[in-house]
Amino acid sequence: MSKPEGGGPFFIEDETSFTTPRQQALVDCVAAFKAAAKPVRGAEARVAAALADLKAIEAFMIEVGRLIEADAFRSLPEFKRGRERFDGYHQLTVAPWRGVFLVSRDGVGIVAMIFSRHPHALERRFEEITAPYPAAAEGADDDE
Amino acid sequence: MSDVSEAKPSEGTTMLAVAMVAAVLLSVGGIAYAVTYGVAVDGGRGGAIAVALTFFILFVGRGTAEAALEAELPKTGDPSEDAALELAKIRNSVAAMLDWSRKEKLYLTISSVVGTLTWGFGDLIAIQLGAPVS
Repeated sequence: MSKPEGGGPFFIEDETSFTTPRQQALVDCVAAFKAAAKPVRGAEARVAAALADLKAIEAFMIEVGRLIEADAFRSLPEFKRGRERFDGYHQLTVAPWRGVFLVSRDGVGIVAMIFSRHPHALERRFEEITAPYPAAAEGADDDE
Repeated sequence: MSDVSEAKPSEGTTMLAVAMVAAVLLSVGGIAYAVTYGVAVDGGRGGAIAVALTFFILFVGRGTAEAALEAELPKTGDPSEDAALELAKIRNSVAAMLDWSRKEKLYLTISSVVGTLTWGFGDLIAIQLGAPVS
């Protein structure tokens, strides 16, 4: 877990797990916005949906930032797959986005995260976050 | 962003449709009232209310065109790409306005034509259907 120079909030340790999907989500949203007016028939609904997507991704990012500053990830609901529980993994939903965070052993920062847009496929993608960080996940288990 | 491409053209026009249906029901209901309980002249009153309700359609909207124009899109740093985004905002705004206007005209035409005709000739229709003249 690293801190910015001069102190401040913790960052996500694996920043690419956050920045890469965030960038991809923004690129997708902007691409959808650019394509929304072709053709004109039905454009109003498509533009409205694209704008809502842009607002939603922004709201999700703001909430993640707020949680990072507040060190409050452990207060989020636990991630579950069916009835299966995963200690150390917490989820945040800001519709239509949902993220799953692997919270660090001290409970204040994020080791890594995945997120997706509704309809969510995070249950299937869960290995993306568990596979690279087995030690961190076990550490989170020990903490319980 | 599959949802955007799958957005149905009818989305967001529920209020317009409700106002139009209400206008038609009021027009028909006025005539039915005249035949059942009132007198022939009551047959046009539903149409009058329908015309008043039609004006409501003019003020219903989601403000998508304005929102598209004011949207803050993430800057790419590439001047040509940023200019393309600005153009996309204008294009989307105009397209949203045209598309909404097309739908609005349809609902407005139906409710105003039905309402006005009923307002003017509802009493005659009511007489034809057996409403007392006075």
